[in-house]
Amino acid sequence: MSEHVLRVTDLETSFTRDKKEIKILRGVNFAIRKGEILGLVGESGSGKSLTSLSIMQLFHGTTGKIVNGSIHFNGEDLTKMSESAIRKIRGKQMAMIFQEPMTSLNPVLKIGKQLMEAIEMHLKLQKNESRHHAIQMLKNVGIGRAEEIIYEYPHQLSGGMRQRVMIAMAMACHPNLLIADEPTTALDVTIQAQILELMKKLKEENETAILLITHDLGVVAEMCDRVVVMYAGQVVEEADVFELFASPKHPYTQGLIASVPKIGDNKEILDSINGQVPSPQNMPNGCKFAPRCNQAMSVCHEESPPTVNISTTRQCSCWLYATKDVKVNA
Amino acid sequence: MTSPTTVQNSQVQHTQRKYSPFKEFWKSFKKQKAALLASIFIGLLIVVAFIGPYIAPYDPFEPNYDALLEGPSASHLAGTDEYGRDIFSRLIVGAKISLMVSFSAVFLGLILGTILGLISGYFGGWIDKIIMRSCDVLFSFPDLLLAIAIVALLGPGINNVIIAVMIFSVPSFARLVRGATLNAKENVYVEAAQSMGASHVRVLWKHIFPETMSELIIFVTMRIGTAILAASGLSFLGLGASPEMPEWGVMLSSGRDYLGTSSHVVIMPGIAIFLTVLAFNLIGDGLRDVLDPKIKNN
Repeated sequence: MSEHVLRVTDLETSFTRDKKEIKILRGVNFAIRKGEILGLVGESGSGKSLTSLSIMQLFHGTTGKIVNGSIHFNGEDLTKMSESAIRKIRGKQMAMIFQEPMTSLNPVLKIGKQLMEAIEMHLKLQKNESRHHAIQMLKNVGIGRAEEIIYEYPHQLSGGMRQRVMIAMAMACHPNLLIADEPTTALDVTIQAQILELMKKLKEENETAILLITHDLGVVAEMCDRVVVMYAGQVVEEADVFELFASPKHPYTQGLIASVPKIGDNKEILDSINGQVPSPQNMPNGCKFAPRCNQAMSVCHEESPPTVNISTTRQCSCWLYATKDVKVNA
Repeated sequence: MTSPTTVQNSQVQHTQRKYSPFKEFWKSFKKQKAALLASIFIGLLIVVAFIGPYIAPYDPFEPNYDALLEGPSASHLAGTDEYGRDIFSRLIVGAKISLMVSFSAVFLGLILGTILGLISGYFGGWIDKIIMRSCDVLFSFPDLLLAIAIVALLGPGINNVIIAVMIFSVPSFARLVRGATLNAKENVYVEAAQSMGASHVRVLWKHIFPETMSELIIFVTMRIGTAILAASGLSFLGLGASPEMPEWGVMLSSGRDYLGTSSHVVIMPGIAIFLTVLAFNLIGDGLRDVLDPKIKNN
């Protein structure tokens, strides 16, 4: 297939607290092809958002640091780039949409100004041209009153409109990669569908690769080509979206899919996975999911499972699929 | 039949709802009567400071030995001083000095303090520690004592008074701005701007500095009052303007020998200082009521 836009290899990110290094991401591997939507799913605390921040290298004001691994974006390793070189990539070649459309726009700047800021910065356009470009972008994301809206402030817009503006801003320079960190979590369901549809449309027009971070499996089924399931800072399963829902391999994925309530089920208590994601300070030995896993064996508590290639498109890190002789990628 | 009209109404309303931050500000500031009055007073004072020499009824430097220490009268509105100079004219001309000293000292302090505060709050770490500990050192001296020490070091004179008042303003501004910056940099839109490739300078200037503005505006007005007091105090002690200058503090100082016999020599510049400082503080209070979101809707 076509080349990879982004390839994350053995990514390890840690924070420092009281001079102690706490590793949050412990070897994340995945890749995104051109024009593909990759879903990144997992519970709160599994490291999804930190993965996106690591890719963008947005650690300012925190103690976060990439300690190991590489992030190849268009063939270049972002972890080896200078801050100013990355700044030129941010916003131009890769952009990000945030969870909270209500707070991700500066309340004291007019919409047009914020949009044009990004455009002028990266595309080196004149003021008139960039205004024209901003209006065009707003129209592309389905805002009819674009000419008026550029003179309005964020508080005058609804949440859905603001998320459209954010998408317009992110897409303004036609990035190769769009990272969407739970872009529809704060929106109501009807708007959610519109925003997802919009992202799909823009992806098709621009061949943008999208990394969609979400914990909503419905959104994943609707949007994604492939899915990466994360747990406790590691990728536990990677699969084509149809395969994943048809036959989830990893017990964690099975648990996640089982916890989605189905219409017609008349259950008093919804299915769930017992327990919580272990805190980074006291990770269990062996498989990190073992304490919550209902299929755990003794080996799971002792040794980390290898990553097993189940088929050409599927990988799973679980002892259930690894016999001792298949222990290749451990 | 109602639906078409409501549609029309909402359209009309929409076009009318042009939002202007200044109009909004003015609407609430109008209600602050004391602050409004104080701003009018300060406005007049600024005008007077500019055109003072042209409207003063007498030459503020010209002695008149026929009219020494005369009380207020129709010909000398605020009386005359020990050399027979018209106090009212001297106050008018002196307004320029007082305002110039306090404005320039506060604005220099504002610029320096804001830059330090922004850097300190935004970057954190050791640079934050150095800036804040230096501010703590400056804070540990009483304001006026610090100013006296600085002027003693640099030598007396108006320019050095400006520097002294500026230096003791800097830590207050730095600390205020640092606090506001710490708050502002947590906003998602700051991260969003960074994710769009904005540089640190750009983020600081376009996204964080505006957030500190409302607190700064309030603090600047309050601080100008303090600066006038400090500058007058330094001049009173003989560390500021030279004795023949019609500076308000100097006038207080040279008049204090006649306090028992002709108290107006001291009272008149005293009133000028008092009213000006009061006016600035009232404006500050009014601005706080308007600009501080926590007390906005009361």
